[in-house]
Amino acid sequence: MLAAGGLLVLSTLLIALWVPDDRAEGYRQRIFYLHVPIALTAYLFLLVGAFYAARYLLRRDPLDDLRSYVAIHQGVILGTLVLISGPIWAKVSWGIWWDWSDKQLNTFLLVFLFYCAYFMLRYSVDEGARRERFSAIYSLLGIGMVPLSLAAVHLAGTLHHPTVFHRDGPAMEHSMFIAFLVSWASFIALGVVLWRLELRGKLLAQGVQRLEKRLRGEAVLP
Amino acid sequence: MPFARAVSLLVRTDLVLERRAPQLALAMALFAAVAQVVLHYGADIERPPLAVTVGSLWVTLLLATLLAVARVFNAERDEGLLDALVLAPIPRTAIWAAKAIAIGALLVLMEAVAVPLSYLFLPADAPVPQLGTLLLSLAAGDVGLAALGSLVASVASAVRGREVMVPLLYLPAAVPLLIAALACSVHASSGQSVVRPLALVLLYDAIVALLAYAVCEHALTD
Amino acid sequence: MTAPRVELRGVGHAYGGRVVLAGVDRVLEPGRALGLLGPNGSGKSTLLRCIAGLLRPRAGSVLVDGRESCELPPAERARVAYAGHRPLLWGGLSARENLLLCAGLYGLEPESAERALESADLEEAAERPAAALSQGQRQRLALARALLPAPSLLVLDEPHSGLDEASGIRLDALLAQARGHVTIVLATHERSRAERLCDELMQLEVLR
Repeated sequence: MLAAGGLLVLSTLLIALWVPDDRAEGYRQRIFYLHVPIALTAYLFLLVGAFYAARYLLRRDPLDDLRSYVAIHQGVILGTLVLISGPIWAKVSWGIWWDWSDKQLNTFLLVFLFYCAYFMLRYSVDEGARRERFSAIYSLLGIGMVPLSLAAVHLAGTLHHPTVFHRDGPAMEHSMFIAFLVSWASFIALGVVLWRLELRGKLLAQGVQRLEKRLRGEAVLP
Repeated sequence: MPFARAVSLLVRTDLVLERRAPQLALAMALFAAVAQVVLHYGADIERPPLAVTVGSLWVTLLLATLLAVARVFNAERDEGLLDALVLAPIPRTAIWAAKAIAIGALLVLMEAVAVPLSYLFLPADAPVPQLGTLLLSLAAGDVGLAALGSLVASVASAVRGREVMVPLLYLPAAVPLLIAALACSVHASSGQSVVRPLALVLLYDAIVALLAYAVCEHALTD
Repeated sequence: MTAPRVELRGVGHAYGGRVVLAGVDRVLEPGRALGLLGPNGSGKSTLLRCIAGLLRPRAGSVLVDGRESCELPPAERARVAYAGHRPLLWGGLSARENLLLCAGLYGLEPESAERALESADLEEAAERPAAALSQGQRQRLALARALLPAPSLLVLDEPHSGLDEASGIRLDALLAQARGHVTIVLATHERSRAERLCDELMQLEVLR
């Protein structure tokens, strides 16, 4: 938690005070150091969710389902921030809230909508093995959708969203790249902290539920 | 029992049942016609661009597929027939594959109605989609839609509010295919190569079919 | 096919937050018949589905000849027959077609379906859709379908419900004949019937 906090502070200082202004967009371009790392961290958590989903299907350990769910939950929360910061950046930079030719943001929208349905699915099934299995299946389908959505949206329109990362490397100054990496690391650290906190909270809640049942004399499974 | 024989037996059973009470095929064909009329009035464009014509056709297909996806596992779930199939000494993936073939067959039947209608309804001076490319993209896309539909059906049929869950689970996952298939026709009409969009359709088919094949047993068994 | 040994090790299951089975332990030797007794909601159907391999228990395990019941390979699954509350019949197919489908799924000759039709006394109703049969006929057809592959493990959930007296007696005779050669787990509300048909009895209670 301390490390995450430290990284966030460092990242904020670097973004606010250290990195030079972008030549094309000026000071307002600095939203890039929040928007892109949050998006990448969101994708990372969705991938973690898929990893634990696959593990659940192999081992059938309810803890893997919980880890998967919490990771996807983090991914969707971060995704919401992306879909808020993206239009803000678009409005400030190009004068429109939503550009259908913006490949990255539209891909993100598709993936976000997909994972919102994950929660709808999860809570339309009673607690138990079936909920866990269906959630895992959908999570794995979702992670398959990410590259497909990216490729499809690339096909659909011309680029408007500035491309910073190319095959040859990042199209930015050295200091900007460092600030970007620090920001990304801080969001990953923050995400991990929140993931662990939520997981611990849910496990504690489950433990309390089981104790309450035992006190009432009700049967509880090991 | 070998996979192919099990699939063949199950597909024949479904065909017999559908032939005796052809509700689904007729409903989908009628829906295809109704949807085209609705979209025409909804878009209200005198001379629709090619992308709108082909897009409307694909939207019609996607929405009509929902009817199949919502119904195809109903008997198995509601009357417990899935127990009989799960107990039988057949690969459980054959159950998913047989339903995918059933959905695919219904799609083809529906396209036999929808495609001629979409040409019939075209205003005299509107751009006409290249039939060859359109049929190719439909054939390729049907595989992915059927594979996805069978997986979504196997999950959604077992949850509360399945009529609501089917579109929520199916449509976001089908969007990348919609984009790629539409691009096939648009590229063909403007003289561009259709190799890239068609490759994406086939990639979608492969990823979705493989994923569905890998996880379907977890959807079908408790 | 030899009758399998069935082991229940700490079997437990819950639906939502409600535990229906907890810590069920039992060993059923090959060829023995176990009668499950208990009120509604005591978990009989759940336990039977676990034994048949249709439901993975939330806790513990069900072993059939040492293998998890829900992970039996296809060839082993052919040994298990299950007849539950629902008749597992395709309503739009005739009685004959239902049995032929079952024969096809189990890799049996079509003649076996005809023989099953005869022994279930359903020749007259053979061409009628299963949905149009009477409850008794549907139950006889469901049992005929379950027994068609000559299983070595029979899992029956209140098989006598819906049967007339003659059919009930016929079923009792069939079960008596199978005893010793087939492992049977049978749930019933009738204690006297269970005592007559089974070697062992297990009483389940509703858990709070």
